[in-house]
Amino acid sequence: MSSQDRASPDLWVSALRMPDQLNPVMLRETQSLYKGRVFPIFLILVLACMVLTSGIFLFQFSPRGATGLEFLQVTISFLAPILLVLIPLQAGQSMTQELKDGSGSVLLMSGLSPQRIVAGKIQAGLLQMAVALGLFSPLIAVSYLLRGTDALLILGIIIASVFANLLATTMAVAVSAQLAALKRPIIAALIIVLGLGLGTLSFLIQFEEIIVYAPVWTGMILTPTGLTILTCSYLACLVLAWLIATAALTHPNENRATAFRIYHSTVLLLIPALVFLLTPTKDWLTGLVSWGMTGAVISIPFFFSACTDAPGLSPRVRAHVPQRFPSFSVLFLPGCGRGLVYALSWSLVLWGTATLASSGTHYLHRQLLPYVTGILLYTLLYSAASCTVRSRLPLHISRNWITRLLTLFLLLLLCFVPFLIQAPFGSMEWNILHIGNPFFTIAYVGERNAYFAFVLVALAIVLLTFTNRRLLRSSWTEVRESASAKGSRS
Amino acid sequence: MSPTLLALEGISRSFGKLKAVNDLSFSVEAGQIYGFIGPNGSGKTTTMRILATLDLPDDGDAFIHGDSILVEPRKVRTRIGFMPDSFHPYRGIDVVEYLDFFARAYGLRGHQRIQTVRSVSSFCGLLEFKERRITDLSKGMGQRLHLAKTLLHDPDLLILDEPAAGLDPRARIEFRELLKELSAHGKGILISSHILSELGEICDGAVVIEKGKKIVAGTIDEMSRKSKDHHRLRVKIIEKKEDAERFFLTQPGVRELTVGAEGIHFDFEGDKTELARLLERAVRSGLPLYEFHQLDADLEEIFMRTTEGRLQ
Repeated sequence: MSSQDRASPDLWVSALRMPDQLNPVMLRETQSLYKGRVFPIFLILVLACMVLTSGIFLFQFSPRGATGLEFLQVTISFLAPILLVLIPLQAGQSMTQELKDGSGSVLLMSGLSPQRIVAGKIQAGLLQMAVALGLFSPLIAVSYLLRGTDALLILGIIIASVFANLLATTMAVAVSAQLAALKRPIIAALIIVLGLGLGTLSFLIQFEEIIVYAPVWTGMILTPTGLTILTCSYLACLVLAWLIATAALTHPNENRATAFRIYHSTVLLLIPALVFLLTPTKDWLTGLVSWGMTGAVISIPFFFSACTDAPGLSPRVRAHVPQRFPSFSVLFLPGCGRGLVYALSWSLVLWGTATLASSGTHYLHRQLLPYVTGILLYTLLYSAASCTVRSRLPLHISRNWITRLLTLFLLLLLCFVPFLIQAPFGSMEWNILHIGNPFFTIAYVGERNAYFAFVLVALAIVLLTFTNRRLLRSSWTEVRESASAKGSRS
Repeated sequence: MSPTLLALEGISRSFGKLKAVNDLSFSVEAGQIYGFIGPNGSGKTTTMRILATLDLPDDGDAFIHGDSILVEPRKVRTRIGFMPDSFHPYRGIDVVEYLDFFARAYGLRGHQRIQTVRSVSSFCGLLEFKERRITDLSKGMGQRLHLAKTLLHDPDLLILDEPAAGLDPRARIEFRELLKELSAHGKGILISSHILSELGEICDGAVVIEKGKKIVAGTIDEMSRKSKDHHRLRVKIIEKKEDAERFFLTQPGVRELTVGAEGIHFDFEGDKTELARLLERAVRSGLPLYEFHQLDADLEEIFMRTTEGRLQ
């Protein structure tokens, strides 16, 4: 220890005294924020919003008619953009910066996991939110003092704002992480601002609705069913955004697929569990049809993503295949072949349930079945086609995630070719050439009960699965070999 | 016997049709400083990023103390310190906060964290700048901070990508001394640079690559031995410089002859017997020689010989 260091031990202590348990990323983000130029700007903006809130209230509303509720509305109108646009945008920008300038990769070389990095960004956003709420608290208190509103509503609004901020920040971080590869960061920023702006607008509209139709909303939300559905939907969105954010930071050698497949399966299992738990017995069949429909729709991105994974297991994942019952892990391990098996398995379960439920007497039961079947069949068709294309592409092309999206986009674009052929003849009727077009075909089958179209799609899926038979076989062999190699090593 | 600190086995990496790294193999032992030499775009940074587990090879593997970078990347990361060619400081924080952040990130706790930040700052000469914002640091100090961050978790192997780029001569010398000290502490160092004379002074060995392919690799001694039929000679003569120049130019095996104030320098290709014959012929021809000296091969010379001057 140098003499200079001994002379000023306090400096070391003051700089390093923060508890060990704090997330380093959160700590650094906060230090950076409050010592940098951003914080004074943020503070000025918040204070300006407060002045505007008070000003608008004083000039727009006559004091006689003024109520706390109106004041709260104006306050929330200014608070919401700060909480739901400004703070999430900052967190997102910080993530983009981290990934763009390469400091993110240096961070990943330390012991920090992608989950901890994302958590740090979100926690820093939450701290900022606490500051903003603290600054706005006098205005919120005034709204209570002015009468016309109750503490429960104010509390509800604050809780909703906190949860909305958490979700918006996580989503902004997720989108920023995924779009960091874009050459023009302004495009990513615009997409995020647009998304957050729309979200804020929707939040404010909901807030107005709740105030105007308070008894109706209270009756809908403040029930066990309403609260359960709201909580589950919120958690589902939050976890998905979290997974997307962490996936962007995960090293290509690590396993990214399993978390998504477990998430998807959990959500699919959670929906019928909620149906059975929250609906009366007579509505179960309708609930199951709805499950088939919802499941089919939410499965589209998951099946496509699973089927366009890189074909083989990375050396790291291979080394960590479970030794016991490796065949059970096949569905959840990365690889487009295993992804196809996963998609086929879940499609069968969803379709089976929808078919079972279609025996019900309600008109929905028969109407929704063609749609469930159609969505599942086309999801499988395009996933299997993408799997076929991607597994045959050279490695350097297929590694690029844009290629994965482009493959699907090109396949879908081909659907519109028959329209171009038909256009000179003036006919826009469905014919066999439109078999690749999911939208047109599902609508046609729904109207005419022309199930033969679905039979053709099913045959195409079988054909594509058959062409991928080696990939499917190697999916199992690779997992089994990895498990036995691990066993022999240990 | 403990396994080699770093061993590359047939690493290859392509970007489209471009083969950035092509079947690259070499090894580095603990306490050695290895120069990683090649022109721009030769695959140095790609190789270093692969070793740092930040990129994946298309083929081959590398081992740090016997652990594969592909199978055990997390374990490997705890043993290596990677210093990329660019340093992007976080805005608004000072030197101690920056080091503290990385110390926390590397999982250091409590007293150990404070002690490590203090000792690493002291080692890298950052104590007097501890409260300075990192965006206000000079390039040289920035590189020191960058190195300090790399040393926080006490890695066995340091991978330094062009660490001296953009530094002034004084900062370069200071940085070089730091590396020598680290090597004396038993750390293996793989360092890439364009400045061969600078690497020559600190490196125990070198790997020369071009277009992703290894041209030559080994310790300086090994490479000198390999090129034992190459000699760099200096001849000093009392008078008749033009005659001497003409004489040596006509001798077999003589290349790259230059005449300067310090005498005549040339390369000679041949074994010791042929070298003795050349001296004999020179004396017999009546040239008034008073010095016939064989110069030691340095990294720059070995590099020029092995690549025949094809690289920059």
